[in-house]
This record gives sequence, C-alpha cells and structure tokens, in this order.
Amino acid sequence: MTGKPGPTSAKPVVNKYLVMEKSRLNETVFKIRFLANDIAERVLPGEFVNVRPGPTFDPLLRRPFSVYLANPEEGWIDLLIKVVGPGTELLSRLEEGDLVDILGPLGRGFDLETVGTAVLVGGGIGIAPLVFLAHELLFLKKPVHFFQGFGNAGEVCGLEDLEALKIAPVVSTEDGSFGVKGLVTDPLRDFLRKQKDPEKIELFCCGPNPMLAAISNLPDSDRWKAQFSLETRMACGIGACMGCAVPTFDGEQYRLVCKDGPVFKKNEVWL
Amino acid sequence: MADLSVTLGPLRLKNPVLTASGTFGYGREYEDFVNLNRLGGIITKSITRDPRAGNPPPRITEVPGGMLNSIGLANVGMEAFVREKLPYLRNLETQIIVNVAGNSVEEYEAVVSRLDREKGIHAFELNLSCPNVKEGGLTFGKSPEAVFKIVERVRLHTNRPLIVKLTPNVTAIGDLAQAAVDGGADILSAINTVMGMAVDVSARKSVLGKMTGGFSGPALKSIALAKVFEVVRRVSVPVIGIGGIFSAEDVLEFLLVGASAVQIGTANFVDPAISEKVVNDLEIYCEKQGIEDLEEIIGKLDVDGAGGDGNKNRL
Repeated sequence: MTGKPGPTSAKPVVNKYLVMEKSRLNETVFKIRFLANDIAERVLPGEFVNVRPGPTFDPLLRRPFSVYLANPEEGWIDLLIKVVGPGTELLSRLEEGDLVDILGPLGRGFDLETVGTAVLVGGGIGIAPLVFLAHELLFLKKPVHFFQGFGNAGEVCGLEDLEALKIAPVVSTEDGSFGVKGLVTDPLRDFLRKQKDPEKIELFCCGPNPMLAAISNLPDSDRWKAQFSLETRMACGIGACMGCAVPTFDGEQYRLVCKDGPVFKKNEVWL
Repeated sequence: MADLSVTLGPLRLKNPVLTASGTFGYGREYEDFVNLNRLGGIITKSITRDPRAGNPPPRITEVPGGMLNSIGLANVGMEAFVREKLPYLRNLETQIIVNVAGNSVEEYEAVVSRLDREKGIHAFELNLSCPNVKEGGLTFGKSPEAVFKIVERVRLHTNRPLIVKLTPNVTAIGDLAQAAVDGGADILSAINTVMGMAVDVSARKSVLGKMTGGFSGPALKSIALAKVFEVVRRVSVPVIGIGGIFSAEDVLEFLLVGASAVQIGTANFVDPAISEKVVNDLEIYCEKQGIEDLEEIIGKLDVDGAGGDGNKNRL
C-alpha cells in the first residue's frame, strides 16, 4: 500500500538569492526569508532546497532544508535553520542583503490528492514542512489537526506562525517544560483512538526517525494513511550522488530521499 | 576563439573537461543545469553486469576539505543502461564514456563485450579501484599483476579507446600505470578516491555504514597532482587528471603537470553547473593569455630550478 509518489515541481533552478530578513526563534533556530521568485512560485509543500553554506568550498556541501513558507505573490521563501554544525552556523550568521546560492525546488512533496482529515505531526525542527503544508491544507479547506513535540521549552519554535493560521497545535515537550509532558505520540495516540472514522484520517509527519517509526507502529496503524518526510545526509540533491539512500520497507532496495522523497508513503521505506 | 580540443590517442575531445564517474549520474540528471553538449565528455556511473542496490546508509559524510562516500556502485546494470540511459546519451553531441566495474575478470569482460555492441559509446573506462566494493577481500586495482591481467582480457572485447582508472591507495602508482599500459590501455585516468574514515565519538561508530569510504574534494587536488606527475613520467600514453578540480585554474594545474584532460567530480555535487562554467572559464583564460591551442600547455610545467613566485617570496 504505497501508492503513487507525491507531486514534484517543474525544473529546479540554481541561483543566488537575497536575504530579506532573519529572525531568531530560539537558542539554535533561525528563520531566514529569501527573495526567490522562481522558487516561491513553484515550490510545493514538502519539497526542499539545497543551500550552499558560503561562497568558499569550506564547508563543502550544500545543506538541505524543507521550505517553511512560500509566498508566490511577494516572491519569497522562508527556511528554518537549526545550528547543528559549521554549515548551519555560517548560514545562521547571514544578514539582510547577503546573497546565498540556493538550488531548488527539489524532491517530491506531500501528496494531497486523497486527503480527508489531515493530522500533522512534527518533532522539533520537523515542524518546517508542516507549516507550509498547513497553509496549503487550509487553502484547500481541509480540516487540520496539528501535534507538535519538542525536547523542552527552549526548543519551541514556529508556533506563532501556526497561530497566524488560526491553528492551535497540541504541543508536548519531553520534560514537560512547555505544553503536555511526554512524547508527541502520546496525545496523538489518544486522538487517533477516539476517531470514529480512522479511514478518513491521513497523517503527515516530519521529525527524527525514531519518532516516525513510533508513529507507524501505533495501534491500528493499518487503518489510517500516512506520509513521512525524511531527513538524511545528502550531497547533490538531484539524484546523482546516490548518497541519501534509505532502505525500502521490504529491505530489498533503496530509495533516494532527494529524488524519490523526501516525502514517502507509509510502508514505502524502512524507518 | 581558442581551440580547446585535445587528442588522447584514439580519443578526441572538444575540450579537456569530462565529468567523473559517480558524480554525474547518467548525464541527464544535470540537463537542467548544464548544456551537456558543451562538455568534452560525460563519464557514466560505473556499470556492472547486474543491477546493484549499493551499500547500506549512511553513504556519505562531509569531512574537512572534502567528503567521504561509500555508495557501493549502485547502478541499473548493463541491460537497463542500454535500454533506459544510453538512448539519451547517444543523442548528445559530446563523447560518451562508459565506466565499467565488476567483481571478477569475467564480469568486466561481460560488460564490455555487451556494451561494445552498442552505438554511441566512444570509450570505456575501467574502474579497477573502487574502494567501496570488496568481494572476498580482493580489490583488483591494487596489484600490477591483476591490473595487467584484467586489462589484457578486456582489451580482447573492444577496439574502442580503453581508459584505466588508477587508485592512489598503493605504494607505487607508477607500477599500476605501467601494468595497465602493458595490458593494452590506451589512456589512464588518475586518481580515484583516497580511502578514508570518519568516527562518531559519541556513538563509538564509523560514520559510514561500511566503515571506510572514498575521500574526495578540494583537499584531494594536491595529492592527485603529485600522482598524475608520477604517472606521466612513467608511461607515454595520455593521462586524464582527476581530484579536487573546482575551477579552470585547477584544470590548468593538471594540464601543466602533464594531464591531457581532466575529470570534474565532487564539484558537481556542490554546483551542478560547474562543469560548463569551467569550460567557459578555460575559453576566457585562453583568450586573455593569447593561447590559440590549449594543448600547447600540456606538460609545460617548468621543472628547472625553484618554484613559482609564491615560493620566491619566502626566501
């Protein structure tokens, strides 16, 4: 039950784009807005861009980021950048007016063709593609439920953008310092248990792999549909290096996160 | 307009810029970014007899000065290559070089003899030195005897130009080069990746799924230049330089050292348009320098006396 792959934009472009603004959402997460007309007008929820950390070759490789929000009318895209190493550290130091080399849009995004009731489930920085998705789902007039987990209150980000969409997420933290104490799967499990019509439910999930695996192992998981956005180490982003392979559910082959994903249907890949 | 064309024995290229195997997919992956017809040639991913799924992840990681990969020759296999990939490549106006890999002498023979029946392949490059595939503890490319044997056998199956790609992971790359030429290679390419490793201290594990991988990237250039220098002094067949090439200036370094052409590898991952940019920049360089024929500078390294200006200043 893997279904056909999700949608993919027209051709990607590689270009230098202007930083319009930057804001800090918490200790390590920055939101950066780029003036990128040709990406903004084509990118679909769940697709990503591959960003060069700087103009030199050190650090070397591009860093992949799901698009957090896109505004085709104003021609900008927002990315959430969490500082985890030297590449993201450099990106976090960008200032308004800087030019950044971005390749995109890339990959296959969320498939919204059959969605009934959408349940969005994010873990940490995994909130990024889900905010863009929520935007699109509201435009399509679909009911949206949002579950978002963080490690602690210091890691919380993105909630004000959901608020602007009038979405009230169920937020949990592992240490209980913000929202419900526990894993995001705890309130999600309760919610799913109460659903009279689980067949109409479709989950859209992005977060650490153990979280995605836990979701796919929830009780009655065969009754609802699910799509998972994955993160891996990646080099080219265009299906050439084959570095971002993940095993298929049957363990027989591999899929490329950059080209076949980053969004995969339930039971398509091994989480 | 300067003449950028280069002649490598039986192989003529419109310019010296090729794309390295494993970094350019089957060519089409880059059509949105590069006018493929501007390139000197395209070298495909390694093709094996049967499809290969490749190594378990993680397959890549960035390290200082470059990256490690352990892809494991993931490819569609020779029949699917002929059916699905070759028709596109055949229609391009550039030289198509198929990189061939295998686990046995017989597999190399099988792939080359099969592909030799197809139109639109201008040369074969034998990958005898992939550091990421070892069956029964054997890596062909490391012993001159094995290199000689495999090249000699493959030579029987094709009259098209035969390139042998050399590994740097040996004590004497010159001996490998000589063995390849003795076996019947028309052209050599050097170097493949250098074996490397990265360790995740907190997990106490190798970062890569297969423990070790191949190092590539900017830091490879100085090593590759020295190896190419060694090879061109040892053999008289043309040599293609590979390793850390990110700019036209990098290409010129290899040409001066004696390479007749180059391959751009890891740089394609960083900037998908870089191969064509390098061709454009070579044209600009020749025009500015008044060079009419780029081949003039091949091997024109001044080996007498001290180094260039950079060194004089230090005395």
